Amino acid sequence: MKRKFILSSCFSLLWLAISLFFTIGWACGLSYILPNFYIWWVIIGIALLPGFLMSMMFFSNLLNWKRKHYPDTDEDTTVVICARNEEKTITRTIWAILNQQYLGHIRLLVVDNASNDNTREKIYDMLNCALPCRSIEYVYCEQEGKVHALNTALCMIDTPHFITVDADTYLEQNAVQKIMNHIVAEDAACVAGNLFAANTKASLITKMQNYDYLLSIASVKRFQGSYASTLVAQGTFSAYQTGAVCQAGGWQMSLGEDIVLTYNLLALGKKSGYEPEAVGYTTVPQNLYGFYNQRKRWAIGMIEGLKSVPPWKQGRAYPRYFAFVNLCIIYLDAAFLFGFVPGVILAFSGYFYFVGLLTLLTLFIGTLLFLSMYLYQKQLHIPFQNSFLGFVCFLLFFQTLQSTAAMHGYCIRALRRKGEWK
Amino acid sequence: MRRKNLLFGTTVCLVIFAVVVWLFSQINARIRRDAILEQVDPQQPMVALTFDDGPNVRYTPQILDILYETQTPATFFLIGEKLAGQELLVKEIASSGHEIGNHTYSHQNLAKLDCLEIRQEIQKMQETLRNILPDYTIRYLRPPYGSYTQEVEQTADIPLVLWTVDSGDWEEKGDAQPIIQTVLEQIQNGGIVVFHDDNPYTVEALQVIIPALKEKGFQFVTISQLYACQKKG
Repeated sequence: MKRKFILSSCFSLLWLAISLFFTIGWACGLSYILPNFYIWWVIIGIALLPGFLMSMMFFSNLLNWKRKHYPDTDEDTTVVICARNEEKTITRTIWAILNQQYLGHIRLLVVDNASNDNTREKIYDMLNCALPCRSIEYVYCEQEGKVHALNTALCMIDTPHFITVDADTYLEQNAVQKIMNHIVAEDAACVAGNLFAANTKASLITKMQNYDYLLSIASVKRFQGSYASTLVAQGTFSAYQTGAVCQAGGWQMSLGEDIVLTYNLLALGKKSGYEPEAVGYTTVPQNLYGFYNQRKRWAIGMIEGLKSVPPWKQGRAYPRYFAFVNLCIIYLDAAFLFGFVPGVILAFSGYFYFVGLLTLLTLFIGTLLFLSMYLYQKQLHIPFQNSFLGFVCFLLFFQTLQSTAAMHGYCIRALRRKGEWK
Repeated sequence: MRRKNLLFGTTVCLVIFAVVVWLFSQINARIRRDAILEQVDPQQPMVALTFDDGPNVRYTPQILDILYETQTPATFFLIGEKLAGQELLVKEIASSGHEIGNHTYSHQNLAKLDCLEIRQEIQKMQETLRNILPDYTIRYLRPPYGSYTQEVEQTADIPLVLWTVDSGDWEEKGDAQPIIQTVLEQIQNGGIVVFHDDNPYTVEALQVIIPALKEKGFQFVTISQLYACQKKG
């Protein structure tokens, strides 16, 4: 692990050196027109730092190309589904759990978080479908908020490990087996599953998100997971060590409760993994408004995580490094919006000053990263749907939308305003 | 909440728009400077300052600033292969009222080239400049190292221009004083001084030379203006 990290670091430092070689001329070319502070702020933010991070991720993912295979476990487990007004999707989610090809017993805790639609009835209908090795329990949590629902369930868990699944997420048949194999064999505190968009055909926004899950999110998780330091074991589909979660104090009152929990687990010096073969499909926001709000929440969650456990307080070196990288994301978002986007507008006017050779070099390493990730996901034989339009729009517009929403989230957090509650 | 999102999105767009406007204004502040318009008096002593081997992204802008501040027209003999990526700088040289001359495409010694190669060196530079300044016509060629033969003269379809005073700024002396001394001692009416806009000493020397020559009553002209006055005279 250490050797691969060092090798990846060396590769990215080499990349940085090459980039710097080009940068000097680039910066000089701009320095007679613009203030040096702005030039370097933009160059570092849109070329040097992204190039460094992406090249490291690319090389590390290449070095960790071979998948780890863990022995099948038959340990009994608990699956927690928190639902609030999820009448449309809850049946499918529960079905997917009941149909899991898992060697052990699965106790399914469905927590109804004060729903006021037919969620309760739908869950009740499913209670009859329970099998000897797949039991279902209905739990009612009156206090609104996902955190309360999760903590209510936590008190009821009597297995060493448990899995959380969102009510709008359904799992592949072997997902529970794969994620349990990983967490048991690695003795990790949490393991994140590999998520894909379920409703890819719904709209252009969902098509774009499909590629975000397939290429970007999976790349980052694989990179961090290779060093047992996945920073976000998303509540949508992750496995946890019950004792470790209790030790970390369960879920905290925050918008990014899963992020904060993962940070807290890592701060305890525990491991956090990623299992690419444990696949789940989640319903992603179908319109721009929903997408914007989700990404805004994620940004607030990231800040909450960083505030809860600052990078320098992380117990191990790898999470410390990744947390510092997360801290840089705020700057990268700002540089993208106020450096790269104006640079592109300038380029359309014939001034290729910010969007020049070095930007192309960064795009090149980004392409390599995406391509390698695409091939990796493809070899997992996961049935995902491709959309040419979705991919093009993902490349052209996704980052702008995401950075704007994230910036909004940062501002909300900086102004200490309350974010929208889940 | 929808309104807040919209408001924030609009704010981000406005900030991006403001950055774009600022970037454009910074660029235009240089390339759209008012041209230096010096009335040439044929009765007064005159001198043409020329700069070879540019453009140089570090020193040419500094020289342009000095020339702009002192309202001094000059002539820049540019190398074709150095123009790539320096479009703004080249545009600024032209829009400031300075003259641009041909210093070949790759600064080769023309005396050592055959006819075809000489023509290529000259034409390629002109084509490169035309991509940046489509309407600009180059009138003079300065052969690199001041080296030329009769064949060069015959092949080039524009007149060759050398110099009467070599500032010596190409010799690395690490000091601007020898440059100042050489120019001020050797300058005469109708003189052409050669500098190189690729070193800090030239920049330093110009800050002394220009005021000193102005004090001596010299007026500054481009090569075209100088030759036009000499023709009339």
